Amino acid sequence: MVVSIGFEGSANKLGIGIVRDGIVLANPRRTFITPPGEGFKPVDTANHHQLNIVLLLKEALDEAKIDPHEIDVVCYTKGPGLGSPLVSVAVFARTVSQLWGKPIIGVNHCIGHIEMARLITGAQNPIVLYVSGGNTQIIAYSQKRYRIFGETVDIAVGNCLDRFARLLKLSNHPSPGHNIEQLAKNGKIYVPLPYVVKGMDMSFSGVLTYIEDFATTLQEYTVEDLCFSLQETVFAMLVETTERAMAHCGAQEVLICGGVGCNIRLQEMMAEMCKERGAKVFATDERFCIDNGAMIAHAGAEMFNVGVLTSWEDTFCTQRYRTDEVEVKWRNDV
Amino acid sequence: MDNASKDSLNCSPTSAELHIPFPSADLATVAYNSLRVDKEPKRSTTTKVLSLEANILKVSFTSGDTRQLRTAVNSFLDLLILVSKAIDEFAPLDFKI
Repeated sequence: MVVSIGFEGSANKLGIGIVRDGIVLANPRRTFITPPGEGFKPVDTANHHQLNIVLLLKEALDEAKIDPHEIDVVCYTKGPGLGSPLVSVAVFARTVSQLWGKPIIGVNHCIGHIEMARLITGAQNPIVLYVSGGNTQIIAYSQKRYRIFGETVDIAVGNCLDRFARLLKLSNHPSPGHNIEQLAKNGKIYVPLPYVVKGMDMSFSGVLTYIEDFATTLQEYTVEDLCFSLQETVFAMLVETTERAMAHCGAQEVLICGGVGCNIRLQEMMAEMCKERGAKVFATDERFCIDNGAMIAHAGAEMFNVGVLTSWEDTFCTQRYRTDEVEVKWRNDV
Repeated sequence: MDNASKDSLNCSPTSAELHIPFPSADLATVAYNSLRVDKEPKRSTTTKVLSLEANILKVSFTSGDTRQLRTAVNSFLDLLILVSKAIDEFAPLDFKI
């Protein structure tokens, strides 16, 4: 019976999760929300995490009704993500690891998302669409690695949505993407936008530049029309590339994870494509789609259970950390 | 005279040294271990070296740019304060490594 604690802070969400044998005992989170029109800068985000992490840890321990001596392993996000926020959380994790005398494990953020989504949904061997503000990858597991089949060649789809929201000065509460989703529901006119799929990869900076022109002049379209059109376009790109991966692998399951995975319209479009292929879509709710500590705790526990530990010198953070760099020793399927 | 290239703060390497005492050598060691792992960001000309002397954590910074030195020292102190808060809230009584 392994009790693990996970610390996550690679972007503007600070999360601490406590997991015992695949059961989430606590998963509190604080989000650093900037004024409309502003994105979150690394230094300010790092300050936010430093200010909130002590109270958040107390909250997690209280909610889980766990005493530190019951914890078996301390896990933290090694990367990818923003430098100073990652380091702030890692320094704290290193400290409690020493104070409590527990081993420490550095977890890949993307793998945290994948493993949590697999745990919650029960998907066996899906094509994974991992979409967030910082990442856009299509992943398939093969022989101890999460292989990146396709990805964005420039910015993440969530970054495209967030920056468009910034231009429109939409509120960043609870997240810019959430507010684009609400506006899109009232869109009536579809505006043709650049659609850029290159084989298994996608590009979003072009469509962002194009729609930024619209935002400043608005022409005859409403904000709702633009939000609707942007979603339909970028989500169709994601569905196309996911379907291509499914065809290559003969997969019958799709698992959507990452913050953009909360979007119901994306889930609907994916479900439509899957229905045509007799396949199934799996997605989680915002507790686990959005960055959280429990996903780090759970992925860390999987690593701990197969004897993977992180040496002290290796507890550094890295802004670039490819999903396929990690040897997935805890999976035995081919 | 070319005013654009004058910067009187950058003639030679600047340095700073901090000495931070802790209640015990064990707690100083915790701080030392937590803070020595991360390297300075790649674009920075600042280097830092941490060392321990009984219960005192020593940090020495060297930089080719005084403004970068300020940033490095400030970031370090923010993290040091974070470590001390963690110690205050979560260290077991009579903590020993």
